Amino acid sequence: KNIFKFFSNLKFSIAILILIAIIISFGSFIEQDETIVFYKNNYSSINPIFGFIDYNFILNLGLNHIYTTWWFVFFLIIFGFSLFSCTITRQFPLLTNSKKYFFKNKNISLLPLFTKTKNYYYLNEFLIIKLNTIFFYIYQKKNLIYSYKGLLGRISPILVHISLICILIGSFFGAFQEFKAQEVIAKGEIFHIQNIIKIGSLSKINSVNIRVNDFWTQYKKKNINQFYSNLSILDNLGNEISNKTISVNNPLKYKNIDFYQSDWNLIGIRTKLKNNTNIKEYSFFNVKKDKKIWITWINLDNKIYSLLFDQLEESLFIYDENGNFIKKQYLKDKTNPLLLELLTSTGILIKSDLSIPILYFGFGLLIITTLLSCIPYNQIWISSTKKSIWIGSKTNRGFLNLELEFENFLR
Amino acid sequence: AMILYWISLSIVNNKIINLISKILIFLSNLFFGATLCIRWLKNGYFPLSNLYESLIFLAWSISFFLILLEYKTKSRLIGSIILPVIFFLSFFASLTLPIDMQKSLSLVPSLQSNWLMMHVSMMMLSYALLIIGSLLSIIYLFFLMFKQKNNFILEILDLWSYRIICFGFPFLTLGILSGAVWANEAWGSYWSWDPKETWALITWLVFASYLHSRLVKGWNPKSASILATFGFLILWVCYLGVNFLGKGLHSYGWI
Repeated sequence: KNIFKFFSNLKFSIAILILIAIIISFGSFIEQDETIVFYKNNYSSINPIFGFIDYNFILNLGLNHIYTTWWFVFFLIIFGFSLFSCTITRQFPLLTNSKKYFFKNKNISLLPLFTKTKNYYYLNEFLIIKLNTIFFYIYQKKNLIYSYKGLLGRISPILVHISLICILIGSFFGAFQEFKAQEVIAKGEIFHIQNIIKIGSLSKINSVNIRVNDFWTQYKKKNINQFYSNLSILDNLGNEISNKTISVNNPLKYKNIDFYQSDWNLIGIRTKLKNNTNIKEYSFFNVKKDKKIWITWINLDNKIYSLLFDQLEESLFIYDENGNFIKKQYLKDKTNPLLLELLTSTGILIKSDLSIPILYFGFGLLIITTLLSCIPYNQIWISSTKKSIWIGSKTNRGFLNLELEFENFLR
Repeated sequence: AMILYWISLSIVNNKIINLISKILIFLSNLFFGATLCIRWLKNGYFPLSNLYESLIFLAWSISFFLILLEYKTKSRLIGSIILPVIFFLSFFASLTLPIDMQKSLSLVPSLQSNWLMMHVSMMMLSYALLIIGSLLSIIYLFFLMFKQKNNFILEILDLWSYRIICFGFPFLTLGILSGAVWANEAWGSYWSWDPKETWALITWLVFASYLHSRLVKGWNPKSASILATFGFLILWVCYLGVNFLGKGLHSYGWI
């Protein structure tokens, strides 16, 4: 019992919220998941930042992968436990809404807003009717009346905590059984899930055969608009089970595995002279890493030409062997005796995570409940004797709103 | 289009006479809205794809909420505090950003999704509300330190700040979560500790602790306002500061 009390203490909760906030901010200052050499170069022991932050400090404390260190996970668990204990100790009792408590010894003069008037003809009943018309729920015992409005605003914070716990549990569960892989496949090839980037201890990968049928890019106003890959899922005999064209925001989902379109690459070019049946294939080379410009050299009639591919213009710049510019050949132009076909490869990101439904449920619940928590919970007490009537009220949020309602109400 | 922005700038600067200023605020809101609508119609996508557009959207939402608040509370106090923000935003957007960044280019493939509308607009709306709310807290601290006499104004400021932040917080939650869902649909990872995501989460945590600090027995509005001030600063780091770090999925607003 005492443990719960400690963890549900409000000041403790605020402290841990701030602590988590500070810890995760470190992750944006210190580069995450880089090689040891990187940290050695940037955080040298010779001149440590603030006098003690060098690469040893970073690597020993795990600051290069803060979000997966054991102590960060530990703080998250404490956070979850704090939410849980708060829900149990403070919020569940609120749900009982016991009438006895509200009627016991309510000294109305202690309430934030109260007033006292003379009791005249049927004022009590008039007040009750008025309360009803502004949607208050009313309970009456002898000459004490208790009414409230906005119970949803009182329950919602509990549900906020529950949805946060749901999200935390979902992400923990997910970390154990998810996997992520990345494949770069040339057009027309078949691939399996082999190149794994990230995997949990309990992950299971089902074998799938996928064939890339086609890849193309779409342009709009000289800018890349979208990448498309057409994929087929094959069974073990090579028959097509499923076929879909995926694009960047449009993945293929098959048996809990999702295939996302990521980047693409140009790997070669096929040339064929119109009057010749010889097909020659040349590799394309990336001019600069991460830039979409490729170059190759082709041999035509014993002369060597350089071809530079520019993705935005969908054209090839052709140069002779001395580097002089000859002409610009649009790929769509079919009048050229040299037929060209580009060989592309597409990058597919493969991901599987069964905890997603739990997470989405937690997300949705959190959205709704944080919105509903804004609803104020107003309570009004009325106590009447033969001579005078005491009216008092209390709210948990919109103090001003209540004041206005109160004033109107008294008119 | 540039001319429009000049007009909106000069309008916002005027905050003296009651009725005139009210009309001017209304007009400037319309101008911001019109700018966004024109860009929307011309380009075929919702106007929130680069820093310039997001600044204009933010200016529009702040002026929109300002009009709503002035109508509800019938006070010019909020306006006089908020208007400089709008002024600086539109100034920054129109004059200091290079022309290249103001142009509208076609969307990169990863932005071509209906989620763009939902996620970014929710974030901007929440920023607008939280900026207004935390500014009120800053002014509360300011008054507390220097003026100290008018208790009523202090209470009202504190109350408004609380209510506005209380209303802006679910929007922030919705914005962060819709971003996570979009990320999951687009590249299979709902949270990748991107600087912007991280700082959005920090903003969320700070404002959550602000809302909770009001429930502490014997809470001091001063300490709550200090939290809100931190929230204000962190919000700007999240919105503009991370662009200077230059890496991650959100580096559309490079300078």
